[in-house]
Amino acid sequence: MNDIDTIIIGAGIGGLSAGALLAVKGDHRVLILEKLPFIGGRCSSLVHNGYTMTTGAVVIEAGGALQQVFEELGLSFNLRIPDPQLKYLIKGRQLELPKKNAFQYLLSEASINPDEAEQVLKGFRETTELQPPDLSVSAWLDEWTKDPGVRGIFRALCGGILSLSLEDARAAELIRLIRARSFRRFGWPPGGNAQLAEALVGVIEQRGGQVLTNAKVTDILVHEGRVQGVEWFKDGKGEKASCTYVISNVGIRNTVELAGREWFTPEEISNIEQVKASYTLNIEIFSDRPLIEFPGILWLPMARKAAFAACPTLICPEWAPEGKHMTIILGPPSCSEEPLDGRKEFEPLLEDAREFLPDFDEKTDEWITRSFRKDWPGFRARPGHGLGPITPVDGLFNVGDSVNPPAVYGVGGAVESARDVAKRIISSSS
Amino acid sequence: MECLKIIEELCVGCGQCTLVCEAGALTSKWGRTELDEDLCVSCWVCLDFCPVEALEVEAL
Repeated sequence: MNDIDTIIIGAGIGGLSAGALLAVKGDHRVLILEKLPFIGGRCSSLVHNGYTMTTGAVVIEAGGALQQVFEELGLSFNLRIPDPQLKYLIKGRQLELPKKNAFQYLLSEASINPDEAEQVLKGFRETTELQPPDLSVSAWLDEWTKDPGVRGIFRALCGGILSLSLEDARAAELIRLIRARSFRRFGWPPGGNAQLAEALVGVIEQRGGQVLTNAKVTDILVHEGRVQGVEWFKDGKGEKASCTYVISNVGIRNTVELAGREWFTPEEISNIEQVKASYTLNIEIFSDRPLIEFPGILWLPMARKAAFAACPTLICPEWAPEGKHMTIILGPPSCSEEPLDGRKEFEPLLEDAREFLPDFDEKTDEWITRSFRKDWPGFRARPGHGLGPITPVDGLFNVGDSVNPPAVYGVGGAVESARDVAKRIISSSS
Repeated sequence: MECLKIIEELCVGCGQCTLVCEAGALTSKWGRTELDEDLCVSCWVCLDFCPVEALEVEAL
C-alpha cells in the first residue's frame, strides 16, 4: 500500500467524515482501518430479526454538521423528519410547544407552583457566571427551586440531550445548549444509520481511497515526534503502511496507547484520563402496535429515569418487519461511572416503560435492554469536556465524540471535529 | 472442544453480539450479556462484532 496521504483509525462517523472531506477537498488518498466488521461505529445500524437497530445514535440532527458535510460533498441527506418533532407528557397530557416562549410555557405547565417556574426562568436568564464553574445542574437548580415538576423538565433534558443525570450534568453546558437552541430538528434515515456511513464510504472509494473492515490497528508509528505510519492486523496477517497524517477516531485514550505514552507529557495524560464519558441505557420494544401515537420524540419529564420515548417505525416502516413496530425508551444511569449496578439502573427505566407506554405488555412483547458505557458509551466525552483534536505528535490528530468543541456533542460533535481536522490538514499540506 | 467466554470486566452490555447471534445464544439483560451454552453453535460471528473485545473462545 503506497502513496497514502492519510490513514484514519476507526470508521466511526468522525473518521468517515474526515476521510470523505480530505478525499474530496484535499485530493488525499485515504485509508480507513476499522476493527469491526461494519462501518459507522456508534452511528450505524445492524439488522436483527428484520428490525433496524442502532449501534448508538438514537436520532440524527437535521441541518446539523453531518447534513452540512453531506451537502459540501454533493451527497443527498435522506432523513425522514417527524411532524410534530416533539411532545411533552406532562400531567397526563401530551403537550406541543408554542413557537414563542416555549421554555417558559414548558416550565409553567410542568410546575406544581407556577411561581417556582418563574423563579427558575429568572435564574436561567440572569445566570452569566457559575460558581464553581463546574456546578451541576442539580446544585444550580437547588438555588432556584425545589419544584419537582420543574426539576423533571431539567432531568429529562439532561438525560435526552447530554445523556447525563442532573447530578452529572454541568449547568453551564445545559444553559449554553438551551440558549444556543441547538439540535432543533431531527429525523431518521430510512435505510438506518448505516446508510449515512455507507454514503461517506462511497465518496472515499470514488476518490481512490479504501475502507478496510476487520482491520485492527496495533501501532501508530512515531519517529522523533512525527507520525510515520500505522501497523495493523487483518485476516491474521500483520500489515504496515506509511503516511503523512494519521487521524484517530477511536477515542483519545486509545490514541495515547497506540502512539505510545512517551510522546505525551504527564499533564497531557492526566487531562486525557480525566475526560469522562456519558452513558446511556436503552430499552427497545418490538410489538405489533406502536407504543406511542406520533412519530416524534415524547419527552417524559415526570418519569423516574427515562428522558424520552420514540417509535421511529411510524415513519420508517422499513425498520421493522411488515406490521411490526419498534419503540425505544431511554435515559442515563444515575451516575455515568463504573461500577454500574445494571439491574438497579434498568429497573426504574422498565417501570417508566410500564407507566408511560400504556400499551406495552412486557409478557407478550419482546424487549431488550442495552447499555452504552465504558469504551462504547453514549458520548466518549461529556458535552463541554472535549480536549480538542491536536496531539503533541506532529501529523497525528483525534476526531470523534471524545474531542467535542463546546456546545456540540455526539454525532454533531464528531463531525465538527472531523471538519476541523480536515481543514487543518488541507491548509498545512497546500 | 472450544466454548465462548464473556469477559465480564470488559462487557458493556451494548447487545451488539446479541443482534448478530442467529442461534439466540446471547442475550443482553440489565447491562450485561448472558450466554446460553446449549444454544451456541460455535460460529464465532459474535467475536468480531464486540466493540470492546469482551468475547473470546476458550478451549475446554
